[in-house]
Amino acid sequence: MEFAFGKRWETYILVLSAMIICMALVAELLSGFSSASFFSSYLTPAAIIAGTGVLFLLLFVGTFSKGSSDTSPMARVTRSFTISLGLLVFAVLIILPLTSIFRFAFEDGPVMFWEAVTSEEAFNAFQNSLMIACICTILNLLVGTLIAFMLTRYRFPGRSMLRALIDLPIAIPTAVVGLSLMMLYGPMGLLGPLLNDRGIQVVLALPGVVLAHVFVTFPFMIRSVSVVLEKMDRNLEDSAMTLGAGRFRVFLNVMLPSMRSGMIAGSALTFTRSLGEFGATLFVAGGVFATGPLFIATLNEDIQFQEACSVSIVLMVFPFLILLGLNALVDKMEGN
Amino acid sequence: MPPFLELRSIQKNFGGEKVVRGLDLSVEEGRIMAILGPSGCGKSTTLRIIAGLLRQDRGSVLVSGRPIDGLPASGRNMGFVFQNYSLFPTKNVLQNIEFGMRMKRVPKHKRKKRCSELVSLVGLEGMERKKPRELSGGQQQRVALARAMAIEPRLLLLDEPFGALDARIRKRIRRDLKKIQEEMGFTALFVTHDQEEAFEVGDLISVMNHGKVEQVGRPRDLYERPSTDFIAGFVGTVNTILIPGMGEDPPLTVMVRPDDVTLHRGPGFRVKGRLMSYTYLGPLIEISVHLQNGDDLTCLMQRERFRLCGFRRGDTVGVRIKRFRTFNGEEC
Repeated sequence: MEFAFGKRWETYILVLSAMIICMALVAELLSGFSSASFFSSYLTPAAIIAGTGVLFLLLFVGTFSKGSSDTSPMARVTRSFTISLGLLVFAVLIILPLTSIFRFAFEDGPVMFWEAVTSEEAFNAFQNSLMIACICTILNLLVGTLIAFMLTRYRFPGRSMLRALIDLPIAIPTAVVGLSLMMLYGPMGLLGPLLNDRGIQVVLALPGVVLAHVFVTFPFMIRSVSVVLEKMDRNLEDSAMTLGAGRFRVFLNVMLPSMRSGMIAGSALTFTRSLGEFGATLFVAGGVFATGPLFIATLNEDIQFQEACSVSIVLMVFPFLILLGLNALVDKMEGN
Repeated sequence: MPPFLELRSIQKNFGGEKVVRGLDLSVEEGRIMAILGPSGCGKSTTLRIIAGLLRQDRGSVLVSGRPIDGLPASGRNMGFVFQNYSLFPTKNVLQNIEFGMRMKRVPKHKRKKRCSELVSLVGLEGMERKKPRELSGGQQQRVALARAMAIEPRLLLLDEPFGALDARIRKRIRRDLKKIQEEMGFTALFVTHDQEEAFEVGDLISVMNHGKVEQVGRPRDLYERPSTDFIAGFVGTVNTILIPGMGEDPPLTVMVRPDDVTLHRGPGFRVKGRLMSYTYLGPLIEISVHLQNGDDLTCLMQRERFRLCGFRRGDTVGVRIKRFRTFNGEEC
């Protein structure tokens, strides 16, 4: 599985930041006149369409003369049209909602933002999320690498079926994941009472949340590592053996370094997915255990929008930076 | 004294298909033996069996008279050079060369010394810190060679080592390999489907076909005294000509080497033909002649003589065959 971002990540971060700032400025401008009468009188459907049109025109003109190698005017028009349409859709669908979060997080100034994200409850939620994401990543590194190895290196009955089933967790609704874990380990579940009698509490506690997250993130590591293993030259192992390396040292000295980039990519996906997991966690945490996203939901229910938005920004920016950092690391390792 | 390396009736099947069928071979110490054969004749499989990367179904591999079948690849101390080089992509040139010595726990100062010797032997000074993908094909091949030699192998095995290189570099590396081998005196076995390569690098050549060795010999033996029709056809170019039978005899098919044919001007020759085309090969010219009996004949001629005779396309030429072989092995 490829990374969420391309090779030239510096460009992406610049463009993204620029877009967020621009849209935030637009939002600020609009809310500057934010008497109810302004919105009701000026923000009519016609005005929205007109505004979108102006934005589209600006994008069109901006991309028309820049970097086109086409000579025919029609080809250039088509090119600019396609690019600006793509950018517009991206801005409206992705950037616009995010800017509104920024808008409300800083509504009462940066101090309130800071207070919201450093409150004891927020800190607790971040801590839980980080811890769970770390445990989940480590577990996936061990189990996922093992399964990827098994699937790519050995032929056994049922292998192709297992390969097809690996992606199952992506297709299952997270609510179903949460519910099924409750039905197994919960107080009314198949195994829950039995384990409870021996003093083992799985759900409504840390282990349950970790189990849910491992379930949901299961395919990421396997797929990332499998891709690397399948591309790997089988003669590498033979080379190492003729040079005097036993099976274990072949794995340690030859295969592991080659698998590293896949393991890092898989870790990045697992880690960020775990930080953001909401559906399954909601079921197994049962209000006893607060992760970041659960905390946001709680704040939202309590109509504490400014706090909810502030916490959201941290939960949004942090994984983004991790992805970028790891992406840069992989780039550097592969020497690109 | 038993031979340095001996293969005794090696057999290997892949899913019912017999790839190597009862192969015998022996290699003397300090020599380069080439295994020459068409693709799919089982030559690479044989090499992998010697290295211990594949296990034979039957037969035995012996080194100095002792079987080594029980030894894993990691315990055989045989250097192996793969066609695609198979350098460790995350390690640099030095780390690649050093790998085998690290596995054998050679002390660090010795590793360093030997590494720098090898780097200069294969002519890669200044490239020590580069990663394999930053090197050209020829340079990668040199690293692969140095890496295999670093473990001071008792036997160096090379699987189509020059196959992936372009013609000019291939020739240079071939000569370098030969030179290095003569300097270091190691024993090597290399697999190729290229006859020119086998002749240039190999002291002895064993020609393989259908999972068996058909003949072992020096280049000259193979060319002048091929033991089977396959070898006569595979080693060098050969013409097959139908000679009409005399009296009761049935017509006879014979094989003629292109260099055993001379072309002449003027009358008085029993066999005549029409000069169809010619190609410059450098000092020699390859000429295609259409004989009166309908056979096509390829022959070689010195460039100088060709010019003196003033041959042109379409000329009628006299053909003299100096030597030919019948298909049952007689030479005339």
